[in-house]
Amino acid sequence: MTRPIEAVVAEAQRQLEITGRLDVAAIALANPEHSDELRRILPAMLALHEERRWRESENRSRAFALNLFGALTAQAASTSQAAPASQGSQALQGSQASQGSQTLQRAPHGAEMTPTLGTLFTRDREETGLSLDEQARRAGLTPQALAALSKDPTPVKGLDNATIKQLAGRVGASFAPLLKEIRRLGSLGSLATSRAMVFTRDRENSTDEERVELLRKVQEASRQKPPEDR
Amino acid sequence: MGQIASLTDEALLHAALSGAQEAWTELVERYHGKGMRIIRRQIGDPYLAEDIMQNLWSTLVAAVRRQPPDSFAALFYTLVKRRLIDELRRKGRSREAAILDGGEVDSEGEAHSLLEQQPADTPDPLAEAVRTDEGRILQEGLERLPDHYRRTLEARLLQGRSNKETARLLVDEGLVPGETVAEKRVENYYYRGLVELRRQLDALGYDFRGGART
Repeated sequence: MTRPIEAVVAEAQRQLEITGRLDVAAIALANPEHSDELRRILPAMLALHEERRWRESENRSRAFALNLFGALTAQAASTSQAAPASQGSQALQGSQASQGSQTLQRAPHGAEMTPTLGTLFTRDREETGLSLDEQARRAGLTPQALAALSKDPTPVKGLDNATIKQLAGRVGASFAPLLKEIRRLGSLGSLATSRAMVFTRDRENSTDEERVELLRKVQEASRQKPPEDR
Repeated sequence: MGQIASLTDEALLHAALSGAQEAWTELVERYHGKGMRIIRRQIGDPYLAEDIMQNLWSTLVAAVRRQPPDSFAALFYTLVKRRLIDELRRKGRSREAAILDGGEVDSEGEAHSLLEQQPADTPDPLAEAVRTDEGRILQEGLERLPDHYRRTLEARLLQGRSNKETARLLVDEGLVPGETVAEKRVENYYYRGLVELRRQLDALGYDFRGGART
């Protein structure tokens, strides 16, 4: 006895809801009297079912993106504040102030600092112990360009891509590697001066040498590609 | 809300970084759907696409916290492209990855918006994705149906409602006469709706993959 096609389609729908799958060819074969029409309309059913999965995925990932607002503002809020020092919130400042003649001048506890490009590049070289040639090689710059950058008085704060492009032209560097290096050093700069300290364990008991070593390890790690870019 | 909608992407980002949550919401709403449509064209798995988008937004947030970009759109689409290239290479689709990888970023390291791409007759999968949006075509096909067919398909297939719930909904929304509708009639609307939808989708040039699903 021939089943009404509505019943076949309803059963196919139930199968799709339960298993998430639908074998159009098998259903058409099992119902030869409706074969042609089933081969036409069941793909439309599948298309809508698939569309639902896409919409649900889009909604979930949208909700995830919206919830990133907290992460977006957390660091920005913590680095913009000049909060008074509290017990255990010592910066790494004093331990490095004695290194090198052109090291970023460490301001007294609680003060804001406005590094220049020159101090960023110089501090990085001094704190990692790299030669100018090696630092240039790792950054993808020429030693001549790096030497010029190490004396550059341009403030880091508010630096935009257009200024970096001009700087690249002035020192004879390529824009892309220069931009990448400035961003890397800039993030390290804010890390070292931020009141939101990364190094929390045993801070009160660690020595200056231990804190310097830990900072060196952080800088080395920053030179590696982040997991999301691998 | 109208004021928010008139702001540039960069102004919205600045406001969001300063703590304005509605600015961040507006940015996400502007770009999330576009990113999903582009990824959908290349990645057939919605759950994988979901992972890609979540990873993309996490990366974007980390990037804008370090350095707000000159162009939010350029950063967003560069990240979309990068994720797609990674995924295509992972799947062994190196030719498509090479097409995506070529010509999108100039020698100065500047990324260009995918919406500024060449016309669709060029072999650019990303431009093609923007142009041919499967979800949009499906929605257009649905909207061409009589209301009671459209609502039945939406309720049963897009919302996962039962025949009984769909019957109730059709009555509540005034799409059928009377105070009740038999579930058998819902089955009939469902079948006829699919027949008509198939006809409309064919007219719209929808690309059916159909067949057995694995």
